[in-house]
Amino acid sequence: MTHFDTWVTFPYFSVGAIILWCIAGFLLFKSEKKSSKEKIALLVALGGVIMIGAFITILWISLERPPLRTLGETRLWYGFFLSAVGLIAYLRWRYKWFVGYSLAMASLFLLITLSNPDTYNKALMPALQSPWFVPHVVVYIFAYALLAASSLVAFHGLYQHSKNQLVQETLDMANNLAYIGLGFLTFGLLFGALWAKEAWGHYWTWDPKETWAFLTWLSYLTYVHLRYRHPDAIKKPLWALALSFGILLICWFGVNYLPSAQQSVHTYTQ
Amino acid sequence: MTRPTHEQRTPLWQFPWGYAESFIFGIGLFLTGCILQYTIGSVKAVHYPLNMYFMLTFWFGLGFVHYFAKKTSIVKWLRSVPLAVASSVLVLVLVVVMGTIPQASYDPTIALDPLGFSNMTESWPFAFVMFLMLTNLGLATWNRILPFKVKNLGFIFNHLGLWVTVVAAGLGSGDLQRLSMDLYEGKTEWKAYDKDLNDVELPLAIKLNKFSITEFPPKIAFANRETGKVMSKGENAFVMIDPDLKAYLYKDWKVEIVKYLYESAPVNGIYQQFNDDGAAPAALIKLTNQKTGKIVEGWICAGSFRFDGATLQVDDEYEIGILPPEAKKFSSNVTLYTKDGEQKTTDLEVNYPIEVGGWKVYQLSYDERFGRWSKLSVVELVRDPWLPVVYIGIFMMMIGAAYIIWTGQKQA
Repeated sequence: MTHFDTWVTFPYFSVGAIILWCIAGFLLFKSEKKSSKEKIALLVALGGVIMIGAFITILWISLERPPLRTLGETRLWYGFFLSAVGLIAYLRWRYKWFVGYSLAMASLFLLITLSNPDTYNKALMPALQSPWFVPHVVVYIFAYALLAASSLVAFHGLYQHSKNQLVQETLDMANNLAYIGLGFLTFGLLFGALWAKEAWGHYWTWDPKETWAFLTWLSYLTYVHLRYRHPDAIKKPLWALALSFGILLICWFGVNYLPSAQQSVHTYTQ
Repeated sequence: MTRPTHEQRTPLWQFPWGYAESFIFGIGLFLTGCILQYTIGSVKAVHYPLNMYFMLTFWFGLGFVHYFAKKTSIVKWLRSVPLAVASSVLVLVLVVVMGTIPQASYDPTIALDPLGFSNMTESWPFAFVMFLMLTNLGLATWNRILPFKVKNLGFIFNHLGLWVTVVAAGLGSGDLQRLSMDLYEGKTEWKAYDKDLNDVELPLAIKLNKFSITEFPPKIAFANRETGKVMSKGENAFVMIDPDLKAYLYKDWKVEIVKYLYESAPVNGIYQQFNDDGAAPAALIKLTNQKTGKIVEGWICAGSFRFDGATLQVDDEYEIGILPPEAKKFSSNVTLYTKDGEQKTTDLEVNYPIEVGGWKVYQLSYDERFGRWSKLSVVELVRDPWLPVVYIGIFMMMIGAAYIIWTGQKQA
C-alpha cells in the first residue's frame, strides 16, 4: 500500500474515532461513578484512541518514515495524545468535564486535518534522518498535549472562580498537568539540543523556532514559580498559565509568519 | 471566594522587596545595558582561561555571599521568587524581541541597530538581564546546597543544571571555533575559512575521495501557469515517480506515466537515456480530463544544470512538470591526515560527524546547482572545548525534569 492509499483511508479512521468519542462522552455524562456504563464509555473512548494510533502506525509504515514532519502529521499525534491524556487523567481524577474537553479538542484537530489535507510528501531531508528525531518530536507533542490540557483546566478554573464555585482540585490538576508538561517540555528542548549538536555541530543556534520554544519553556517556568510562591492565589497564576499557552501556540504555528521566519530550519512547509 | 495572600504590601524600597522592586531594579539594569551598548558596542567574547576564571569566581562568589550573608535582607531578595519571576519575564521580553526580528548572528548581512537588538545574544542589555537572572538562580541553588538535604536534590539538579548550562554555553562561546572547508574531489585541503572568509590553517588535512548523493524519486506536480506557483495542497498534489507508478488522479485529471527515464537528456524534443553528468529525470505522460475527455500528451522533465526542464500545458490554468529530486542522503568519502602522521579513511554523512584531533567534522552541504553531480563537498569543523561542561548541565537538567515528571506539583 502506498502512502496515498493510506491518506485516502484517513476519513474512516478519523470520523470513526470522533463518532466513538461522541458516544463515549454521551455515555460518560449519563453514567454514575464506578458503574458499568462508565466502564463501557471508557472502553469506547479507548477504541477511538486505538483507531488513531492504528492510523499513525499504518501511515508510518507506508511513508517509510515517522509521520512527524508536516503540521498535518503532527496534528494526528496531538489528537492521539490529547485523547489519551484525557482518559488517563480521568482514571486518576474522575473529572467528566475534562474528558469532554480533551476529546472535543482531539476531535477538532482531526477535523482540521480532515478538511485541510496536508501535502502528501514522503521526502525527509537528511538532517531529519536521525535517531533523535522521533524522541524529540514525540516528547514535544506529548508536552504540548499536557500543557494544552493544563490551560483548559486553568480556563475551567477561571470559569468556576467567576461563579464562586472554584474547588481546590481544579487548581491542583492545572498545577500537576503544568508541572508534568514542563518536565516533558524540558526533555524535548534538551533532546533537540543534543540532536542539533550531532547534526549541525551546535546545540543551540537561536533559530526562531528554538527561540520561541525557549520562550514557551520560560513562561511555564514563570508560572511554576508564581504558583510556588503563592500556592493559594487564583486569578494571576491561572491567567499566567492561560497566557503561556498563547506563547506555545505562537511557537507551534505562528513562527512561520514572523519576520524572522526565513532564518528558521523548523518551518514545516515545503 | 477570596483567599488571603502571604504577601504584605510594604512601601516601595522598604524590605522585604517584592515584585515592584525586582522589576524596577531589572529594568534599571536593562537601561544601563542599553547605554553601554550605545556607547561601546557589543559584548566582546572572553577566551580561555579568562572565561574559566569568570565562571569559577561567579559560582564561588555566590557561595561566599550565601555563606556569610544569607540572612541579610538584600541576599534574601536576591534569591527570592519575585526576583526570579521579574528576571525571567525580562529575559522573556528580550527573547520575544530576538525571536521576532531577524538576527545578525544568523545572517551577517543584517545591520546592527544602536541598542544591539538585532544581535541580542551579544548585546549588553541581554548580558545584564541574564546576569541578574543567573545571580538569582545561583543564590537560590546555594540556599538548597548549604545546608544539604536529600529532599532538595531535585531542586538542585534543576537549578544547578540550568545555571551550569547557561553560564558554560555563554562564557564558552568565546572558545568555540567554527570553520568551513571546501573539498573538491581528488584534492587534499588543509585550509579552512571562518565566517568572515578569513583563511585558517589547520593541524589536519582532508582529502575528498568521492562525494555522493542518493535522491528521493522526483515528484510530479501541477503549477499555476500565471504565477508559476506549485499546487501543494490536496490529494495527489505531489506524486513521487516510484518505479511501479502507472497512473493517478489529481482533481479532474487522470495522469498516466507512459514512459519514465531517471537519467535522460533531450534530443530534438524527445528524451533519451543519457548516462553522463547533468542527466535529468523525464517522463512521457498522458493526461485525460475525466469530465471533458480532453487528452494532453507530452514530455516533462526536471531539468539540470546542463539543460532546462520542460513542462506541459494542461489547460488555460495549469501546467504539469517534474520537481527537481530532493536529496535523501549525501555523504563524502574522505581521508583524514593529522600532523602526527595518522591517517583514516571514512564516510562523512549528515547526522554522523567524525572526530579528529579535537575537532568534530560535519557534512554541511554541496554545490546545489549541480545536485548529485556536485564535485564540491562543504564540511564544517567545530572545536568546542566547553561542550563537556555544557553537557554536564544538560544531563543534570534531564535528571531534574525526570524528577518533576515523577513528583508533579508535590515537589513544591
